[in-house]
Amino acid sequence: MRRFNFTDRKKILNQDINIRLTSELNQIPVIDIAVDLDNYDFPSSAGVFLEAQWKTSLQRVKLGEVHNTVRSFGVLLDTFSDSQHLKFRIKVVNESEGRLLGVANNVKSFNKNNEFGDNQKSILPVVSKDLSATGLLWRINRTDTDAILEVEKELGSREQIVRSLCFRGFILPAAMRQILMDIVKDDWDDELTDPDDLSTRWLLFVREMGGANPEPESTNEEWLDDTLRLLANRIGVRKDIIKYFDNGGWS
Amino acid sequence: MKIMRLTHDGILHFIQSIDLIKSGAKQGLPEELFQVGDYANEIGGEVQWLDDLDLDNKLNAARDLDVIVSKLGLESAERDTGFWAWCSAYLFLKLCNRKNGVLRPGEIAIWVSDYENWQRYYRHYLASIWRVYKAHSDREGELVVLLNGPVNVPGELWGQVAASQGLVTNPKIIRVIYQLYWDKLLNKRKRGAGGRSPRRLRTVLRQFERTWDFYSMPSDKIIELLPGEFDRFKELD
Repeated sequence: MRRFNFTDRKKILNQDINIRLTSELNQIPVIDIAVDLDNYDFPSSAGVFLEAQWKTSLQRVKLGEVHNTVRSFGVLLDTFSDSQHLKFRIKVVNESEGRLLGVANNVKSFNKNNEFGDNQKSILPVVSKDLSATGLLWRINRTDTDAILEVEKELGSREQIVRSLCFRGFILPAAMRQILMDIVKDDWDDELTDPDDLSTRWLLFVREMGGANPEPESTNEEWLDDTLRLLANRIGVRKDIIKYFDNGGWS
Repeated sequence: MKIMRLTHDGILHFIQSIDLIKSGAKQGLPEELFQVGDYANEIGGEVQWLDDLDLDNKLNAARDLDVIVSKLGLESAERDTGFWAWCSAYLFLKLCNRKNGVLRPGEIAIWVSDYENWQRYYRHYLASIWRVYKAHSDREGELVVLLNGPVNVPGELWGQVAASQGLVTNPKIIRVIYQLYWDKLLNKRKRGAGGRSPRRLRTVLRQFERTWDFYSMPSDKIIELLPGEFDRFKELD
């Protein structure tokens, strides 16, 4: 269903934000940040805040008041021990009222070479994790804004795992089906207006593969089957896996 | 006896032991969880510190856990799953609920903390109350609204507020909850604070987050915004 924004809150475009990580991935994060607010017509008295978040930790930093470009260099995010998967939110706030004037969610950082990490570009980031306490070899860890595929770390490095036939042929389609099933069980915005929304990102991804939108008020079993078929074709390892097992893969 | 930390194998053994208790096959935890070896490493201090915890009062227990964490010099205690798991194992018989005298351990998340997932983390009996106390120790007087009652009885208010990381980590929201749900004269929770109201409060606050920045607002202003259904709890001057 369509979601409306009655709040007068402006959406700050990700293209107007540049967050560059100046530390190594495995160190306490230090960032340089520039937010271009020239086109938004925010009052100059409003405060600009950065919120960094990963899993159960959050750090909020005031970057200053509204200018055409708000910059800060060497911002130390010492709530975090490393910068893997760190996500950012920018808020412009009328501090006297507490009203949110503008927001950018789900902002990602560039690394030193001005590139996004592989995982940050992916619709489904994969992380290697100790899952022994769960008894599982993989699982989906989902929040409102992210879905992450966690894979048992004893299976090998993340890079090894994501390249393997087993992962691409068995785990990935099952994980994606689980996420898409959850999305169609909840309400989703069929106008796909908010690209920060997890369901919107996934439905745009389906569209990009040539799929349709799911049907409101339906179990969408057929839609899921059709979407998974497109997905499996795109992954394209079916023949390779059959060949592998023809050659004694089960033994 | 010193305070210990469960190893990776120790955590698995602890979980398997809880599963055996759930199935009725066992009625206690194995001794090896409390011996230095494959399942546990020594950290230091004295287990007397854990024995002395006031488990009938979350605030007292959380405060003393903070002292223990500090005395042990644990710098990343929130991530120290092995430490919290061992403390839970050590206090298991005191904390585990019973039905007709039979142990009912409940979910694993109660005993083994998962710091990477708040939805599971907040359920841990010890790590969760310590973390909330740590975040708001400068406003202990207000924390009483969330951290009251026995450690092993989380309650609806805790379940609704602590389940939302965005709410429970925000000091303004702690004050809102204190103002709404704590009876300052009788020094106890107001009637109705444990029922449907906290559930509604969570829903309403999550909606407000789309329009308001709670960090920038005085808590009285947040309370003023709440709809009429909360009037019976409001105490505005």
